[in-house]
Amino acid sequence: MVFVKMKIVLIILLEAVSLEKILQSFVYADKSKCIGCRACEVACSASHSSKAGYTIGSVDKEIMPRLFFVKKGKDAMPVQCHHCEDAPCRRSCASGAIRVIGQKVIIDEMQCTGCKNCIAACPFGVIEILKKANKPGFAGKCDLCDGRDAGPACIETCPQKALRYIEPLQEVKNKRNRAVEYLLAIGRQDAE
Amino acid sequence: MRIDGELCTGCQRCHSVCPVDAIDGTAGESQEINQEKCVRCGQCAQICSAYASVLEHSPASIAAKKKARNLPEDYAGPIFAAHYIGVYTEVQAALKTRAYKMVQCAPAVRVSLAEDFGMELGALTPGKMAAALRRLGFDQVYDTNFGADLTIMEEAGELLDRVQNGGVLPMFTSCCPAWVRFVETKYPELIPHLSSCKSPQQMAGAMFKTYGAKKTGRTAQHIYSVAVMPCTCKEYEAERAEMADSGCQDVDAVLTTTELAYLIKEAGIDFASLPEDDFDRPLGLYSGAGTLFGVTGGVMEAALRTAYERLMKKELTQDEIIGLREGRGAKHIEIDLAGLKLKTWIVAGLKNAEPLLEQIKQNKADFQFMEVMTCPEGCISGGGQPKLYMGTQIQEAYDKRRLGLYRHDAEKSLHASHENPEIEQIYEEFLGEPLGHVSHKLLHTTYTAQNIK
Repeated sequence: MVFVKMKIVLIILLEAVSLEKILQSFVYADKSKCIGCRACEVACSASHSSKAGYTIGSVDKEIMPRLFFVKKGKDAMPVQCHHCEDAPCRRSCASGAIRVIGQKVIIDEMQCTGCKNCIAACPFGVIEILKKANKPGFAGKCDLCDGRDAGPACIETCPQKALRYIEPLQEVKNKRNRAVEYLLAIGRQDAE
Repeated sequence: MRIDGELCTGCQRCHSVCPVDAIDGTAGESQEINQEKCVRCGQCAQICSAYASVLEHSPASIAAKKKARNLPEDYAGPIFAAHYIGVYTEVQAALKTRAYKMVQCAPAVRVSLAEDFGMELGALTPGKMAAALRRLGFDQVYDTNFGADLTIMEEAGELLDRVQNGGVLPMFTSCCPAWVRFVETKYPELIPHLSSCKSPQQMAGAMFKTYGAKKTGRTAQHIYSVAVMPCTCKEYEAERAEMADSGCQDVDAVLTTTELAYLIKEAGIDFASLPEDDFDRPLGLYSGAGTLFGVTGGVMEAALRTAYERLMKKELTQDEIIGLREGRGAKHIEIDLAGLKLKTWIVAGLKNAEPLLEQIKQNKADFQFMEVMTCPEGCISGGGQPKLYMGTQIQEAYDKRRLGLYRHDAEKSLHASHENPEIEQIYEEFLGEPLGHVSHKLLHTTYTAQNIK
């Protein structure tokens, strides 16, 4: 009996550990903070331009971001890939170019044939067909600035701090802790 | 300065950098610039990130916008809502048609031009810049830094004259045209405080078409004179009616740093592999002091070198002016000049100047000299400078450009403006003496109160 209980505890622990590993991160935009400056898009484009220098004058192509600014009347915010757990884009991909690597859903741009199935499948509309000199028409989307030490350029650039990197398990853990701290504080107040 | 209503999202970040609150509009809607209030500093264009997206605008519409801004025909880079209308196409055409061409570049251009060719932030490239200008067809590659040395001779003389003879004090520098416009529009009662010295651009411009014309056997009308500036307001300055003491407009056209980069690219010049050329003499030789004009505090430092060395008969060291190169915004510096305690303020950003101007209006000002530059760190941060792709790198760019100019100053064998042998020669041969009759006609100007609503 004790052995069975231990086994159950072990399974739960293992699941928790493996769950931590598989939940994908994403960038979240707080629409109440966004002023619609589009600096996130410009930074995204800069971060994904291999040949560009530091200045606009050193860039010889239009800005092509991988997160997308949408304006509705006076409101505005960017939308970007949610790195879905069971990513519809990955399931729809005809060439097997979309994989989960680390905590990110990544498109292999060289392998992509530009079939656009992913565009049809994505519920957020955050995949765009991009062009490079040596690769006409491939699917591009947020890769959380894969390989960039400082993390996503959009978050770093946003002047309003409206963008946040969300690691789902850590996010809920923090929120639960805050909720408990709050409830305990209220409890103490009531006791006094 | 303009804001393209089709591109503007109404984020209003430009409001936060506009020193004269000249931008009107409701959040979330497109903004407009009040042209009367605007001092043309271009900071709005530097911060604006609302770009023309190929996902929202047709290629034809983007091409039309580029054309309206006088950008090169094959310009493939991004455009933004806040912008200036340049003179690129005009200068490009004139380079082909005009017979005799002279050019000058402001100090700050030599620490930023290379950035638009993918080189490091703040890369110091005066030699390559001179080589590129020669290849673009300029017959005389002169320099604004020479004009800066000349400015010091006149301005240091004017300051000492005002101090010793009871002139209007405190005296303000007058190199920055946006600052001059600000005084003329918002504080017209303080116009007598502005130094009567023209800016280095305009002093150089007047010299090119008089002394330079004589030296090269031309007339003022034959010379096409171009200035390359880190500034979006210098074109306005060149077009002022007073700036025609050679008999015609002294400076014909003003390119921004970014526009010069376009010209060099369009001509197919490989900037990075250019040799290190010298500037032409006599109007292209300059001291380290002249090159300091590109940073906040630089005019003060250059003026103090000459004033100190003239009065104290020894070189001014950094120990004598501790704090002059540190800090931002407004800073107070005092220096002992042979018994004369000179109290000064160095100000970057017009908003930082206003409390001091109010003090003067209330007769409470206890200082004699004030340097003001409109842009946050002086000309290195000007509206016509290469715009950073990543907003997060703006401060790094300013820091590296500033250090580049300090390095350039340190490398120059000529330390102070009065040591420049060409300056001495010109006073001997042509100008007479600082604040003299010829100087007064060519190098000094007047200002006019401008009523705005």
